[in-house]
Amino acid sequence: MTDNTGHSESADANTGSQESYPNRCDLVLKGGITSGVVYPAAIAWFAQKYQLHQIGGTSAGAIAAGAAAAAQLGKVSGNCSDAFERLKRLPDDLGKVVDGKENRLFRMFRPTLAADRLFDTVTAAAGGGKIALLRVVGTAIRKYPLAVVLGVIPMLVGAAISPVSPSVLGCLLQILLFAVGLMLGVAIALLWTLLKDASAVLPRQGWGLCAGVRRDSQGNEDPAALSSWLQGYLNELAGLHAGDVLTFGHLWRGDGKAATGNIEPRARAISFKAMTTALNLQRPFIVPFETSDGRDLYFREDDLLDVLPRGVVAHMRRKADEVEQPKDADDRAKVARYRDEGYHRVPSPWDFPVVLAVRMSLSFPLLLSAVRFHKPDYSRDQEDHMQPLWFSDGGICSNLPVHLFDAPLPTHPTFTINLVEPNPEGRKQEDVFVPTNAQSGKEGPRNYFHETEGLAGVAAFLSTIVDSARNWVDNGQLRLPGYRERVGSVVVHPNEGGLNLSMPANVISTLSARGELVAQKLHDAFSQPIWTGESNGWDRHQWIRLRNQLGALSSYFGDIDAALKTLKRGLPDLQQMVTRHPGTNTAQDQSEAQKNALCDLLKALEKVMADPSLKAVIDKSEGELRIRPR
Amino acid sequence: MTFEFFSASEIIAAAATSIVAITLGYRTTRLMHDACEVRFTVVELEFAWDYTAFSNLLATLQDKTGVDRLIRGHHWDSAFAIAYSVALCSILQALAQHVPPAAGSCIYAISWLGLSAGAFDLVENSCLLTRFATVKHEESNPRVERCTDGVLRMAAIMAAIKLVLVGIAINGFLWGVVQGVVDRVHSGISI
Repeated sequence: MTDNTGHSESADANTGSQESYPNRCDLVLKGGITSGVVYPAAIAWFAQKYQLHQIGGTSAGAIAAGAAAAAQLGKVSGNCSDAFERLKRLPDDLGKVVDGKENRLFRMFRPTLAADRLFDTVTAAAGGGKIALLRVVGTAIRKYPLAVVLGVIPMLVGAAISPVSPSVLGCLLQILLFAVGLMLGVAIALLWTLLKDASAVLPRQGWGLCAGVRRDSQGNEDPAALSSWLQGYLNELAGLHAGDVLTFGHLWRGDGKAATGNIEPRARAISFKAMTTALNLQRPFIVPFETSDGRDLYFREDDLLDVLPRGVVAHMRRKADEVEQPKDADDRAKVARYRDEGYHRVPSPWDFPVVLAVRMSLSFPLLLSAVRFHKPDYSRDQEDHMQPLWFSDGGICSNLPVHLFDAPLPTHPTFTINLVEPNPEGRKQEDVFVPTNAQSGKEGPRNYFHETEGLAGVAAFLSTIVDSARNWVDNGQLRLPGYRERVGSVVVHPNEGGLNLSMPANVISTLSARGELVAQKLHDAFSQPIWTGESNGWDRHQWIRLRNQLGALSSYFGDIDAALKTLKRGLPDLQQMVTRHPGTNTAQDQSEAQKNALCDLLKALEKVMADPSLKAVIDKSEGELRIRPR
Repeated sequence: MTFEFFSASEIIAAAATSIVAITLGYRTTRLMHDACEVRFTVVELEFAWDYTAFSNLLATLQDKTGVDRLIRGHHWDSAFAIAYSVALCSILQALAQHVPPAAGSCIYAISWLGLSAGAFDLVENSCLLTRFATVKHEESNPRVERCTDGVLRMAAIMAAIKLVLVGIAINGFLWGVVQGVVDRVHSGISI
């Protein structure tokens, strides 16, 4: 039997043996702004060996994941059979200098006209280094000459009104004081002007210097700006026409046509997910919005025009009218009222543009503007009152969403690519690392902030605190068996990736080569025998994943069992509970059947756990089951 | 109003040396800029301090063309060092004659600091050029031959001294001009 991807299910069947190593895989890619140039070569390498099935990521990882999903669509639909070769060439294209000034990568992050000077000054610090501050000051002096003049004036006036010392030594001292005062004056004037500029520009344009689109005074869109380029590039890889908008429905169907309704997750040809952060709600969301929480969103056209090309906004507007109307008459009236006020419902998940999902995930604070949606405010019983809901970078909450495609018993591998900082000097480290034994990666990511000295040490301490708050969920999972062995790490040095928007071509190709190497190493670790020569890494990994699930289930149901014993009466009467809490329509016989089924489940698990050797292994599991929003 | 602060010959001489210095400076800056896509790498090279940092910075250059431009840029920079230091020195010495005596002596002394800045710049360039001469191009990434940190530290120290001296000279010039103008205003002489 063949599914929408053209992938033969038989390849996944009986995955316990080496001969049936799966020919499809999932990918999860970490955020990292320009470090994303690692991914195209890695994706292209994976695509030679696997059908890419589920692809997800955050921020720059979401761009790469979106491009991988589009390329997979182009390949399986036959509309762009060389999609992955094109994707592989992307880093070289990004490194090419255009107009003799800057490379394509840098042009993507062009600021809005209002933020030009501020952007150049701030990005001068990119790459850090000993003289990052000097670069910033140098750029600020060039960009804000008026501030320099203003800063110089007080000291010139001071020198003019103070009497000249009668001695040579006194004069020298006066000159030194003059020099110090001049520098201080210029520094204060520049800082004041920068802060004034930032406070004027940032809130006005979504707290970002770049919006993703750049229009000149005639309203012409710059095709090289991030969102515009991405829209065209995704279409190219997917084999769609220039004016089309690639949607999740296209990916789910996998034949080049857009789905006109929902497709069950298991039946989807290609899945793509991107993390984003709803700042007003202070929690992450997964795009496409498939929960009731995410479906209750509205947008205004002018908000989206700030961050997306006109064609995509027009698509959003068209599809907003096709969203299924609420059943309740009051709710329908409310939606109509919102629409009259200019608030349109977010299209259904299958109509949602991939480029918008990526842009919502890639909104690196202060660099790329946040995306504004709207949502009725239910927090204080004011559901009639629409409130803005700002979506910023997915990496704020989950920069490496390793959990995205978790399955209790996976039928194919989910490879994850992590981007890590180099260890301090003197500590050995390979630029590409994949765990190949049970111990490696056991501790999860580690940071050596305490080895940095001086003021930089204080900065490292503070940034480690922020990183710990941001990444504790991801980092906690990365150390667990079943997770850590599927994560390949690529070291990104200070002059590479991140905020280095103007990376030279050779740095881009070096990173790209690391991406290809990590893909190769992950494949080798899973496809080749590494455990006593009897099974491949995948076979072992599959067992570990199942073992972990059993362990977590065992603990979860153990808690239920203990509760039932405490309650004495045993399992509560479901029918009584339903009667007390209306809203469901479970009948008496269904309730009884559910109760019995639950008891059977508990007994079945008890039976599995009765095997002492199995129990001993399962008890090693360090994970736990808990309910969290999808 | 007449302009008597500097004599015509002083103005012509200052303009000529400044034009030469600016021309050479422009040529140097262009070459350096073309050599490195990453901005201000040249200053970072000057202050690299050790082999690791220096070789990492060189590795960010595009290719052999980038390194060639960097070397040529440093040759032009040596000419620029001579030009700007002579210009600074002569302008300051001219200025020293038009300010109150104590200030004039001070500015005269500072003019020699301006000149010596060029000498430190030349030593710094020589240190860096000896390192550039060992650059090899393997797999498109320029790599510099392993060396002790001594030469690079010498370059960094020279660069630091140069910057301090140039800073003092420029500030001395600005201060001197202010004092000269004030002196003229006080003594009722037209500027």
